[in-house]
Amino acid sequence: MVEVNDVILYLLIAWAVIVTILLIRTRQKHVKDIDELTRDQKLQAERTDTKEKQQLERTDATAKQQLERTDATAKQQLERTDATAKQQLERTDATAKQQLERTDATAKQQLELTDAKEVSEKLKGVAKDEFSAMITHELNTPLVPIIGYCKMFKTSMLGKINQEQLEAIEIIEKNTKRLETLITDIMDARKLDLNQMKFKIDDLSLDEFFSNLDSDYRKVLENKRCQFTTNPYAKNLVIKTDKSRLRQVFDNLIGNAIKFVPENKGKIETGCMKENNNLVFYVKDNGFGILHEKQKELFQKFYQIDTSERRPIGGTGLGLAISKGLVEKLGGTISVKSDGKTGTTFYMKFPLIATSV
Amino acid sequence: MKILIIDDNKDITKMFSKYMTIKGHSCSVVNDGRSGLNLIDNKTFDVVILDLAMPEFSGSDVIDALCKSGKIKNQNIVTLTASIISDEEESTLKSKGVHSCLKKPIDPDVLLGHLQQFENKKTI
Repeated sequence: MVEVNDVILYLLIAWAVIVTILLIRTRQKHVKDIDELTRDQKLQAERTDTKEKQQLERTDATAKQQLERTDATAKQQLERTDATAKQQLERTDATAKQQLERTDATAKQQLELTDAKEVSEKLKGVAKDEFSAMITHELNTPLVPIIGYCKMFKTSMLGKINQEQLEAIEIIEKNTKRLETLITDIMDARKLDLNQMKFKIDDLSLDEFFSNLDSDYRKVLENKRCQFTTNPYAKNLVIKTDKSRLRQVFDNLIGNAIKFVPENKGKIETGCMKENNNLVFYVKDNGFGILHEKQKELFQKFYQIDTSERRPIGGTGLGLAISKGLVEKLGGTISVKSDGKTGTTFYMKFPLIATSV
Repeated sequence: MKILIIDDNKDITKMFSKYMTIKGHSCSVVNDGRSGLNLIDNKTFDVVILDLAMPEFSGSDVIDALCKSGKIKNQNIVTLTASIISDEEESTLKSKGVHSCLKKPIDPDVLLGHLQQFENKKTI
């Protein structure tokens, strides 16, 4: 019996061993498996990790790229927007500037136009005497007290004055008169230029005209030892003209002659004669004459004969220009004749058609 | 002669009044149109020498005011101006009752000679 028991025992032990081994093996396998599994899992995990990492990285990169792209796009868009905005701003600015400039220019033009209009209105006003009246007023006003006080001093109204003082007053008076004439001449020249000179055409008896000249000049000039004669060859003639303007021309020409005739032996002759269908007035002097080349310039404004070698001769230089203007406005022509040595004659020719006998 | 001078230029009024006074006339002076008008309103002068171009209240304003009040009929007025006045302006002034229009500059002797006509010629 023992034997069977032993065998059973042995068998049991062997089984147990086998089982154990199997168990161990299984266990080992399991462990291995688990190990493997773990390894697998690890690997997988690692792989997943890598993948994830990669994906993440990719995502990251993509995101980054996208971000960058977005960024760039945004940047570009921003830049574009910026640029557009800038351009628009610039355009707006430019437009505004242009508009401003235009407005400015328009305003300027309008101002200028208004200005120009005003000026032209003013000039028109001038034609209606405004400017001349203003200037005349401002220039003439100071002469009033000068002339008045000269008169009072001269006539000893402000106390007795001696010879020297009298001479001084007379010089002031003479120069005041010259200034007065200058103002009148400037205004006359201006009126002629603007065609604003007004003429009063009336009947004029030539006999009366020359008789007035004679009484106004002959005695005064004789006192200065200058001979003055009037020769109205065209007798009993009545013409239509502005007598005060014609007289002004004579006063100018006679005034010039007085300046140029030799001292103490001067000769001035005035007169008129019929010549075909014309009436010719003349003023003749025995002065030193006017050289031929100077004769053309003579009637220009502010022209004065060069008197450097001769005695000083004053004047406004307007007298002959005004005379020419007046004669022409009265329908005539003025001319000069001189050999440049022995005297000068001025002729004023008027057609007799407009005159009545 | 009782003379009133109305002119904004004091040098001119002083000179004229001195001249007229020395020549034996009684001379009143004012330097603006309104004062002149007030004087004429209160008494009559043999003649008034009236400057036309004055600031604020001109000689023309004085004439218009005197026309309105009717006093211009009783007052001899001679205008005296340094400005150019046209024939039309002169005839307008005369139609309003101004006696004559004189120009500056004027010799005070010539002015006085012109004024002599108002002496002993009493206004109504």
